Order: sequence, then structure tokens, then C-alpha cells
Amino acid sequence: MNYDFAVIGGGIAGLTAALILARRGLRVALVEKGERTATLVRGFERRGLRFDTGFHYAGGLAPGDILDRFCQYLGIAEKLSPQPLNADAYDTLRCLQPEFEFRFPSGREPLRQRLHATFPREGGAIDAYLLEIDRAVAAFPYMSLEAAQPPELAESPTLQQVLDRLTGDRRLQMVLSIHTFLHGVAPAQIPFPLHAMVVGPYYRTAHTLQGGGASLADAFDGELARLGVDTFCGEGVEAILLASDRVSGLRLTGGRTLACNGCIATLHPRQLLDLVPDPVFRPAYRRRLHSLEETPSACFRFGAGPEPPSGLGDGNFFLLPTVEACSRLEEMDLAPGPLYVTGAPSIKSGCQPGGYLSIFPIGTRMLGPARKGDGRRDAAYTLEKGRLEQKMRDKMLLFFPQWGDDWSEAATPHTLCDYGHSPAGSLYGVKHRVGQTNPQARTRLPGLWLAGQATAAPGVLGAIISAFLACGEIVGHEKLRQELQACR
Amino acid sequence: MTDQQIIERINTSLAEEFELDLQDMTSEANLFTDLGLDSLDLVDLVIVLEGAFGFKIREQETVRQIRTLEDIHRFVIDKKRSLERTA
Repeated sequence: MNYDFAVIGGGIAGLTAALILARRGLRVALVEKGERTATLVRGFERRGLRFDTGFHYAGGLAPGDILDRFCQYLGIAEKLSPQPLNADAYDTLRCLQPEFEFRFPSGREPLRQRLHATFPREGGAIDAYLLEIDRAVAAFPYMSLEAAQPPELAESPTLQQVLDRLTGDRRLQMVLSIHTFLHGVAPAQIPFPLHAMVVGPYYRTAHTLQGGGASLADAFDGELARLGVDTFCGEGVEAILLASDRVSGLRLTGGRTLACNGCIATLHPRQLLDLVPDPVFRPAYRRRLHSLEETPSACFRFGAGPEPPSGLGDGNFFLLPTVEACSRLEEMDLAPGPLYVTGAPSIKSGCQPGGYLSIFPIGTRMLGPARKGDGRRDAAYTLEKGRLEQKMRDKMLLFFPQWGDDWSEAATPHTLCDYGHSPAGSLYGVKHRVGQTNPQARTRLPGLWLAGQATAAPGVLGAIISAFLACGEIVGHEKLRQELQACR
Repeated sequence: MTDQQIIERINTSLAEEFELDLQDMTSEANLFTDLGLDSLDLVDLVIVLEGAFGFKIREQETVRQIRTLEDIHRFVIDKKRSLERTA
């Protein structure tokens, strides 16, 4: 079998790329190292509860909005049931020092009004900030179908620079920075256009999906099967094969060879370097991919108790020990950073949360090796994990003193490495930060394109856009944009 | 740093980072037609020069106009001299 294209990686970027190509009648193979596609987005079930590890909620899922339009185009919209989160408080920010709470209402205008009501002296700054978000979103390719070129992120101001220019109010800065959690880059590092691209859709609407991330992964799988994409799960790629200086196939870890005319690689850029023979990429490019900085990793706590905090059914909590917590995503200690808590719905009753999931960002390379040479858990790791579990519990109690767990489990950065097949266990893969030039879709190897969070932007939306940027290089951006336009 | 030293540092950095043969690197050599670079390499070219000389290059438009090795030499020498003047 000779494929037109092979896609490496069955995460959201790879699934999207495979669908874009397959719906054009191309023969596509998808290779995923894990046992199933989109492991992290699928989450897991325990004690009758669904714990979503990758997908929690999304902006842009209202009919005709950006993410809905992509889903329409990909043929998966009908299989998804977006559920709007609490219109009055889809996200609640709670800070301890100074004591302060802000609830994000759904919709840009309600948000503007609540910000005005909370910060009556900062009206000008609030309006200017929201306008700058709108403008940046409108200039981001595929977020807006008119925008052609990705913004020059290296030249952009950071979120912190924009905020400092607009306001000196630290609490307002905190409210406008809290969603840095959704891309994992501190305000002083994130290019403003990228922050805008991530938060802009959330400022419009916030939805979760009935059935969670698994329903998204299943919708992709169903459409891939319908279009005849051959999916190879449980097999990694050992090498990208070349013939006459262009991509000719993939050699899989099981020994199988897939012949193809082109390849879209969505794996971590560093892992790509191991698949391509040395002379293909120049030392300068290899060095650049090697030195890309990672977003933070995280510890996770999954639990269920007699009374999860109210508000978790249709909203999320962002909890900050201090007003500076947003800048401290990469601490090696769990205490100073922010904490995210979301509900874990009961599988039977659908949306009612029976438990919770909380995410504590932490710097990468936090723990020593998890396993010894013989594959057994290392004793020092087990001890360290126990210490982290205690710290997570203590931090939860700071914010919810009544909290009581009947049951809980924890995950560490190691879990993210193993389970998400991510070399550093980072939350959003490679960082997008001012001063770092991330790889683009095009490479110097004919027949090889890159997609994934590292290339365009983080998160589910970023991964989808990265696939459009890669496929646009192959089939023509103009054509793709016109087709997307028809999905409004 | 003399102009000649700057030129030598540029040439050795580029030779190493782009696997070029120093013998081919005459001033008039065209980066694309003679040395085999492509437009994608320009991103890394900027990063290599920034690393070699310790300054940030924000002159996107000038970088896009670069064709020959001499264009790079002149760009870096001018930039270095103007930074020295403002220092």
C-alpha cells in the first residue's frame, strides 16, 4: 500500500491533519505510539467518574464560532454536544493575598461590564485591553479567515508589557493574566498575540463537551474510519525514510514500513530529530529544535468526597495564593503557583460532578527517575510523590477548608511523560515565548511538514490550527480558507 | 573588533552551523544560488548571528533583502558600529 500521506502522532493535531487530507480523497495513514488516539484528551474513568486530563472546556464552540466551524469542516460537529458553562461564572478566580474573588461571566460584553463594575477607575484600560485582544485574534491566521501570515511573535510585546502600559492595578492585571494557565507561559514571556489567540474565544463563550474529551477523540476516530484512514496504534515511528532526497516512507517500531509520498509530523520537535538522518537538517536548525523551552509540567490530584465545592458542576476555579501567582507557573515547589480545579462528572448522570480534578503547575525536570533499571518504581520517587500528595492536599485545604476526600489519587510530571508520550511531561509541549523562534510547518526536507502545539499555538484550538497551517502548505491556504468560509 | 575579525567570525559561524565549505564562502557568493541556503534558513541565520555577536536582530526587512555573503558582512558591521556609537 502506498499512501499519499502518513501522519505521525494521533493527538488533536495529527487527527485534524489526517481528516483534512482524507476528506480530499487522499490515502492517509496515521501512526500513534499509544494504544489509542488522543490519550491525554480522552482522560480516564475511575469509580464511576470521568476525569478529563487534557480537555476541560473550550471557547469558540457556540454555533458558527471558530472551534465549531473547524468541527463542522472536519465532519465531527454533529457527534459533539457542547454544554454551555455557567453564564454567570464559568471561571471563578479566588486569590488569598489580597483576598479577592472575580467571576468570569460568559460573553465579551458581560465580561466588559463586570470588569467595569469591579474596577470602576480602570474603564479605559479594560476597553483598550479587550480591543487589543479582538485585533490580535483578527490578525491570527485561521482564527480569522482573512489573515494570511502568522504574526511575527518574536517582535511582539508580551502580555505583561501590554498590561503595564494600560494599568497599574495589580488585581486587574491578575484577572487579565489568569488564563495564562491555558497556555502555560507567564505574562512576562507570552507574546500578546498568542495570549489573545488562546483567551479571545473564551471571552466570547465557554463550553464543555458532554462526554468530555473522550467524545471529541471518538468523533475524530469515527470520521477517520468513515474516510478510510488506516490508523496504526501502539506503534511508534523509528525513522522517516528518504528516497531521492525526499520523504518516501516511515519505518515503524514493529518493523513494518509504510510507503508514502509525504508526511506530517506532529510529535515533539526534539523527537523529530531522532527520526531524520543527520545531514538532512542543518546544525543551526537541529540546535534550535533541541533548545526549545518547555511549558511547565504539573501534578494532578483526582478525588471524590462527600461534598465537592459548589460551582464545580458548570464552572472552574483558578486559585491563587498571591497576586503574583500567575508569574510563578514554573516554580519547583507547589506552594507559590496557581491551582486549577474542575469537576469530574459522574458517568451515569452526565454533568453532575461527583468528584474533582485539580492541576498544580510545576517546573519540568522536577523529579528524579521514576523507575529503576529493572522497571520497578524507585523508592526515592515514591517518597517524593508522597510528599507532593501531601502538599497538594494542604494547598486544596487552604482554599476549601471544608474539603474532605473519601478517595484520591495523584499524578506527577512522570505520569505526564509516560501517559502523554511527552519527553518532558510538559502541559502544553514547547513554549511559545518572546525571544524563542519555534519551528514552522515547512521544513527543508521535501515531503515533510510539521504540526502540533509547538508550531502554531497551544491547546486543542492551537493544535487544530497547526494542522490547518501544515495542510494549507500542501493543498493551498486559499483553498482551505474558502472551504472553511463555507462552514460558517 | 576589526571589520576583518567580524567577517571571519561570521564566516566560521555560518560554515559550522550550515555545513558550508569555507573555500566557497567568497564575499560575492550568493547565499541561495551558490551556497545552497533557502528562505527557511534565514530564520536560523538570524539566530546564529545573534548568538555569535550577542545582539538582537529586529531588522526583518533588511534581513529579507540579504542575498550575498557580503550583504551579511555589511549588515553586521554596520549594526555593530552603530551599537558601539550608542553605547
